[in-house]
Amino acid sequence: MISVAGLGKTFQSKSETVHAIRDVSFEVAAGEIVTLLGPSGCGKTTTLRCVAGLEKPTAGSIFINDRPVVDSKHDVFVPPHKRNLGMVFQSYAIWPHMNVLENVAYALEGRGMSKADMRAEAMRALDTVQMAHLSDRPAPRLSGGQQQRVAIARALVGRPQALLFDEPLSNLDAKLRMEMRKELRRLQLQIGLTSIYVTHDQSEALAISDWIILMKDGQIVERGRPVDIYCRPKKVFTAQFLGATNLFPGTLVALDGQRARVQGPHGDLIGVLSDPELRIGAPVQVSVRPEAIRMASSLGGTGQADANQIAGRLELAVFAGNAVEADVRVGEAKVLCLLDHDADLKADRDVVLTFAAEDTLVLANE
Amino acid sequence: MRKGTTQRTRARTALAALVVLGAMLSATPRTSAQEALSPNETLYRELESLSPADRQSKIEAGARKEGSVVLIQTVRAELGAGQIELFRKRYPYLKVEWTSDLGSPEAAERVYAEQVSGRRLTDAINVSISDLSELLARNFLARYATPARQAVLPQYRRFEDPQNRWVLSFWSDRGMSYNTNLVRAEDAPKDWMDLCKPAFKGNVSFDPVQARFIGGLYTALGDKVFDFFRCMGQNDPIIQRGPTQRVELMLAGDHMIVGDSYLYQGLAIKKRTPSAPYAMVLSAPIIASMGAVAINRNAPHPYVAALFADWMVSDEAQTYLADQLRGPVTLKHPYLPADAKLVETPDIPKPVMDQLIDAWLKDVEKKR
Amino acid sequence: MSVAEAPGRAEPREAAASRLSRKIDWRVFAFVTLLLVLLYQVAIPFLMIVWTSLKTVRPGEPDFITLTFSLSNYVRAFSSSSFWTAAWNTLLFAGASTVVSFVLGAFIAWVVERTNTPLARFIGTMMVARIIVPGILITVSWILLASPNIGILNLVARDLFGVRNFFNIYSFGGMVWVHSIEMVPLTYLLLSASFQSMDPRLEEASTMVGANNWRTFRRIAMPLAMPAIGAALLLLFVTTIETFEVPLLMGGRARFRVFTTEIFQTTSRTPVDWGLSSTYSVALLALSILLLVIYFRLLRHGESYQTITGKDFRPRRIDLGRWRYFTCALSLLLVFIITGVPLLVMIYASLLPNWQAPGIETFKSMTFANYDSLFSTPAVLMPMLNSTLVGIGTATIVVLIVAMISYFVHKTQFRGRRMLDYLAFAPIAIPSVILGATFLWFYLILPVPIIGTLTIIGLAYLTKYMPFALRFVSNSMMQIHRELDEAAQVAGVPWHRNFFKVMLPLLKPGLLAAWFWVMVHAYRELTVALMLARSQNRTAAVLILDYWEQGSFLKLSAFGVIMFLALLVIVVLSNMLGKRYGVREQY
Repeated sequence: MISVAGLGKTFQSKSETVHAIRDVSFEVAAGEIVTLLGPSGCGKTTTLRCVAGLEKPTAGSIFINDRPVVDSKHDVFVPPHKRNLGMVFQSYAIWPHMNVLENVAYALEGRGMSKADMRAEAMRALDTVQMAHLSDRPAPRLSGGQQQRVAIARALVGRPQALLFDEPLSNLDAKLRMEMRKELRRLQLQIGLTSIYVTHDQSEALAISDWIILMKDGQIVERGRPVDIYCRPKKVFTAQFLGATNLFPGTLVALDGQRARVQGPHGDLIGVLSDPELRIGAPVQVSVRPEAIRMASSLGGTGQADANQIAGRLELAVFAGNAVEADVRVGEAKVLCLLDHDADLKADRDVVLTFAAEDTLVLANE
Repeated sequence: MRKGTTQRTRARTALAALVVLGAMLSATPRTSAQEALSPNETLYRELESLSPADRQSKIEAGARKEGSVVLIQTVRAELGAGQIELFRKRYPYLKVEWTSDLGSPEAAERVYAEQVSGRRLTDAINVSISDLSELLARNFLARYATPARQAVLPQYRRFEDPQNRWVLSFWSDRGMSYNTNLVRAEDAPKDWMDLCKPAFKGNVSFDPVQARFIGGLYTALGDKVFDFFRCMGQNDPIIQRGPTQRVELMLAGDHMIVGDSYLYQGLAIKKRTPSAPYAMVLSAPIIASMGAVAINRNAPHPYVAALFADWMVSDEAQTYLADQLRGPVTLKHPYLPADAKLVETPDIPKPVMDQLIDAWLKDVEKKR
Repeated sequence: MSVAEAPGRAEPREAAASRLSRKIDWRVFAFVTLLLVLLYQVAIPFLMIVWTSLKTVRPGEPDFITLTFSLSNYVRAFSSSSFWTAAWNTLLFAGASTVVSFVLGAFIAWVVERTNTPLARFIGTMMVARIIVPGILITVSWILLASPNIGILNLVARDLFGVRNFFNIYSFGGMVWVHSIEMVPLTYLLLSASFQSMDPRLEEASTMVGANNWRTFRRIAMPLAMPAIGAALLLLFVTTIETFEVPLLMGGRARFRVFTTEIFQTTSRTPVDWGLSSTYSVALLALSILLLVIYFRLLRHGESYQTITGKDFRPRRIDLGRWRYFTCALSLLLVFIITGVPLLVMIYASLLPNWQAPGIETFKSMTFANYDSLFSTPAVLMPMLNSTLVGIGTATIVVLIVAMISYFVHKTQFRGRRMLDYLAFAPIAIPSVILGATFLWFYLILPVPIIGTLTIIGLAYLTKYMPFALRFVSNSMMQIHRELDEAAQVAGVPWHRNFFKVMLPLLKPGLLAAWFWVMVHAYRELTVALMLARSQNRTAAVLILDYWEQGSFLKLSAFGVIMFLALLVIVVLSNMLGKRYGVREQY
């Protein structure tokens, strides 16, 4: 278990103090994988490196299995090589002057193990990542994916208390990334290691995590289970960052339990209230995912009681393999829709967009 | 033979560059047959028949036409520059290009190199006559008989060339000098062998091997010179390039004695800084070597070269030399007493010279 | 599983080639011209040296151009003990100097690049600044410092402790010390570059698997730096083998002869024994070439290490704790010794009326008389101007040529482009003494009237400085994406336009570094200039040697100070120009 509390890190540049992260707190339960997600510069990597011990935070504390590794109040700082963590780097950091086996076995040095034991352990770890057959290949002759596997084996072999991943898939090509994503998840479930995973790729985060922590400007924006945070984001930033969304501004005019009515330039819209704190009269944003929208050529006949309908003009529709992407002009705004294959691609015609109230979220304006 | 060359090179493209080089080489002019007179020499021969006045006006007219000259002045430092400056003032219409960065052997070598490769750059050099032997052997110097040399004092006449391939212009002396702060006058060396005294261990300096100086020592000491080399070597001499520099160093207290100093150098310093602790050893033989102007057989500016050679024995040039403490050939020496023991570097047979150089390198420089 | 190389990389180029054949002709033209220039500048000197060593007659003699060869020069050289003494001494001198300068340079590079020592940037800057102090001045200043009997240190030691001649600079140790000091900035530059390019993640990865700093250093950092270190050591060794200034000024009195001084001696006798001196040169060349082959292999090995590392990073700095004040003090002391001492000695000596040890009296008697006498001599100005012209001219031309070379080597597929690389790098094996002599001979034979002009010095410098400039520029060139060039080609931009408008601006950091390096070194170079000097083309360094041999140490010092200031002005001015008219350095 890892627990991070009040973590802060500032860099002193010539003229100003830059807060890389500020008051970051979270917990990673034993055996779970938590993803730090966010755009570049949001502080996710700094947070991870603080946990690893590669950066010294300026405030806060970190406990790993109840042992303090950082406690800035009591001036505790355990150097990284004494934290017993495994880490997989973005660039893999495979040592080019060693072969595959040496790379992994090196992680066992200094533990009083015999050469043979080290070798056997390393081979076992390589087996886990299906790299045993390449154990004597020199590191510079490995492909990206292979390096990735060696890096994981190396992180695993010392039986660390936790695994840290720093954007491990970002240097792979798209197809390989999809494969490795699943494989990582399988591996994590299989060995059940407490892990922190850093990425800027939302689909990767959704696929791999038990929990997602979304960060922005050095602070945590929102956290939750992948499904919840995707389907029921509480912040506009979350809705925007996790997949595409359409936003309609407006004012909250009526409340009926979870249902909220919003009045705006696009007429009245009904949706689910995301934040119970919101009061009538508050400025809000209504968020609808593109895949939740249906398109019809005329008003009415939706068959649903509280469906929203907006009239617009189809400007462009393109075939995108598994769906049709359509841009619809609604007043000043442009709405993105993902439609079925059989949708009519003919552009420059008036259409009506329909989406169910339960697919519509009412978020606080930021 | 050139055909053979072409065929072989054609076979190997790697040597292609050589053909180009070869072609360029064969296109360059080459010195004509050894014994025939060069155009310059023919010209000088013609001058001999003229009256002194006609001769002078013909030379000056020719010089005016040529307009410039390239000289190498191996007399170092300000003296060399000063002399050239006087020459320039005397003949302001001439463009005088000159170098004084070279030692006497290097100057001879430069003319040699130019001649061998068929270039005509340098007109005349003012060097030590002992450095001319290679140039003489290859007949690279012009025969130039001039009435100007009648001014040369009788005691120096024997250094003139019967074939007129140089005009005596100066002489230099080398001897021992010491720092009076480090060596008291009564302890100073009286003769060359005294340099071997333990008191001077590690405190006597020489240039690296110099045929002229070593030959002079041989003349002074005879076969005893080999003993001198041996005991000198055991006394840890300082071997360092640059006689001027060593005199400066010696006077600054770096070491006690400069074994082969140009004696004037210390006097010149003393003139500038009267407190300089400088003294010469005049009791030991002083090694003199004669200097002369030699004209390139294929000098591009023969008239100016002749003018320069004549001017170098003129009163103007010689008085300047004496003022600058150097040895003139037409006037009395500025500082050496009449009774100073002078030895000249005569023509030492090559085998003996080689033996001397070997012994110097082995015993003094401990090189072999 | 493997990431396939993006296929069809060459396609845009070929497409462009067929469509824009007229533009490609320009490239071919430039390539061929470049090859010819290099053959002329590099292959001919090499050929001349080997050729002359196989000849019993001098260059220029009728028999010189025939195809009859003889090994008699080699027999003569190999059978003389002085050849073997020189060989052994050269190796000894080079070995010792390499070790000393490496230890000092590596320490400072490590402190500056890899630790959190305070003032690291200042230390690094001062190290690089030393390059503008001419080498001959460093040698002279150490002689003035530690010469027996008259050296400042010895005088001070005598006055304070009553020790006589504690130091003797005229010794093997002294020569090694002075030459090492002279080379430390080069060591620093070579190593700091490779320390910077080390991926810190590789070391962090080691820390993460539980290795402490020491094991990380021993097992990861050291082995990774080995190719770069080996290459640096070799380059230092080769540089020492061909060095001339220290052996010339100190070797005679230290009774320590190396190859370069032997060659110089054989070239300053009448008649010059060109056959023998060429044979010595060939021996030296052979040794240098052997070392350079190893150097290239190491370099390639090092590059294979770099293929899989990430792109942008800052090197990891080790937290030294309280030790960082110690490393700071030690580095500052070294910087003071390396950069400060020679300058201070020069300034001190330049203000003296006559040579004496420092003391209250001395400081009272200080005067500007030496400067006055310099400025009243017209002969002083010309060498200064010559050095400036030759420095700036050489640097500009070398940098342009080298930029083209590295363009063809790294960004095109021309057959024979490797040849350019080797040709341009080969001159590093030619000692300056030989280079100067060869150029003199070549232009004596060739009826081109450039002897005695700055042109001949410039041509020799072109050959001499290409290898160094190439290293700077090649590194920058490798970082530029080929696509940038290809994009311009596809867009139909003529090649030469693209080269000047796109490539050169992109290369700016490397070009600037190369330009400064060459300008400064050409400005202060002694050996080649000495061999080629005539009345009109004497350079500042030649004048310094002249002052030295005349024993005018104080005047020399004054001139040295002026020379340093002039160089400083040029460097600062051109740096400002570069900043002002250049493009942004970040891409």
